[in-house]
Amino acid sequence: MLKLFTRRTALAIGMILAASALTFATIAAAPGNVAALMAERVAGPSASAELVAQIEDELGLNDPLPVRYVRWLGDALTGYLGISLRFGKPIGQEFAERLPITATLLIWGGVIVFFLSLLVGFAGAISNGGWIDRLLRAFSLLAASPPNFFVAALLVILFSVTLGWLPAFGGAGVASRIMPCLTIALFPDAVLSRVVRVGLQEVMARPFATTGFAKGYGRSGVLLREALPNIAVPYLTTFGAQFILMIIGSIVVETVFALEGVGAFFIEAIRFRDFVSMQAILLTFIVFIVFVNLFVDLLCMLIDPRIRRQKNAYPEKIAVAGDHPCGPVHLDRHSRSVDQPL
Amino acid sequence: MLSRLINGARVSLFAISMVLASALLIGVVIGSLAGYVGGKVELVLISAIDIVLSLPSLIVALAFIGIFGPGYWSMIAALTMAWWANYTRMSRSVVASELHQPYIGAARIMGAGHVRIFSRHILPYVLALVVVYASADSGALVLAITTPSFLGLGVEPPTPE
Repeated sequence: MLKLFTRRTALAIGMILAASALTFATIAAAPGNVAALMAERVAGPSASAELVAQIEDELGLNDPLPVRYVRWLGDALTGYLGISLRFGKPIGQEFAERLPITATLLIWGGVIVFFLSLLVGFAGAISNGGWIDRLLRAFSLLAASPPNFFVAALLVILFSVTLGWLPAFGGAGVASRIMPCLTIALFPDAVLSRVVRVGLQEVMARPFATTGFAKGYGRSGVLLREALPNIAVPYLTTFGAQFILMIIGSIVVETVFALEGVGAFFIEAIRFRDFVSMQAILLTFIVFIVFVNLFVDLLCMLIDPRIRRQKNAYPEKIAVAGDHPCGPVHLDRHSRSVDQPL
Repeated sequence: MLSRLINGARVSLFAISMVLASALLIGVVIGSLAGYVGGKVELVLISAIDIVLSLPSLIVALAFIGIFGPGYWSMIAALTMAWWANYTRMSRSVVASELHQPYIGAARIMGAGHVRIFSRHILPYVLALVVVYASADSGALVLAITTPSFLGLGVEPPTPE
């Protein structure tokens, strides 16, 4: 099992390296000279060519791409992410100010999603086709259909303008975080409550559920004891995927509610062609995504022994050059298309 | 208001069709070539596709908008770069499984060259499947277009969308 863990972790590190190399190469190929932009900021619009060349030398922009990538990655690992072209501040400091806000949104959004989806899915499964089930499903669909900025705007109209309970934008404190977290959480909640509901329905059709009824438990008892642990793996996998998608939600929501988080930083960087910040933020996103996936995979391996026992969970050998992935073409009667209908 | 809505629909629909057309072109060509050639080429391409697909498509799109600069055409280009990977993967798997079929072997025995087999037998099948998938995908694309436009990174302000 330790071997599986280490292999999965090594795969994760490989993914981070590959993805960050790809993003670095893409942004480095972007039109627009970072040195020229910096010279403009220092000396005004008529910056001289020598100043640009000097900045290029200092930043090492004339080195070949792999050297620049390794240097950038090494710097990032030791904590130096560069100086933001937009704000002039070190990016690490900018992150230190903005990460807590985004982290609050994501963590509380995740907590809301977790409890609400389990509650809604479970209630639907107990009701099993009754009016509660149908009402909850309709409501989930309704809440998840519009794009999240639209839902955010509706919430603002309802709670800030009409009722005046919650602040519309900015600010610290719990009240200013309720609406953003709710907006981020609505779509993943719809997806996950459906996963729970369908998963429970599928598990209840299995023989061990009938055994549970025979033992004397009621519907909710069987659901709780037999069915719920069985949906753990698909639920966790989907939760991981949705948690990653909540970054996108946070980007939009931070803009709507004027919160200064990492998402808003990303949008600012894009708007002002701040390539240095964009690279740093994309690296952060990549690391976050890979780590969430890694964590979910390791957790699933821990929970479900069947995943651990799969021999071909991670292939030992990849295709050798010269193999065709499908093997040679067979012309005998045992070919797939002859036996099976179209 | 109604005329703004109608004009906006025209802008949106044009953007969707441009993105889908370019993403399909790039995706189907690269994916089916990878599936047909196989071997190391396919391996490299599949790894690259998996890496590109590991990031949420909107983040890839926003990153490309950052590279090209805000604007209508850069939004279309950025969404194309975010959308092509899915079609590549799909067409590669379809081609790889179709090459297994006996009628391809029969065509090869009869002396058909690679180009003929690919264009006459494989490509129509791949296109049929991928275009159906793309038309269902266009709903997600509409929503994906609204987000950069909402953030001010898509169309310029007076233009309805």
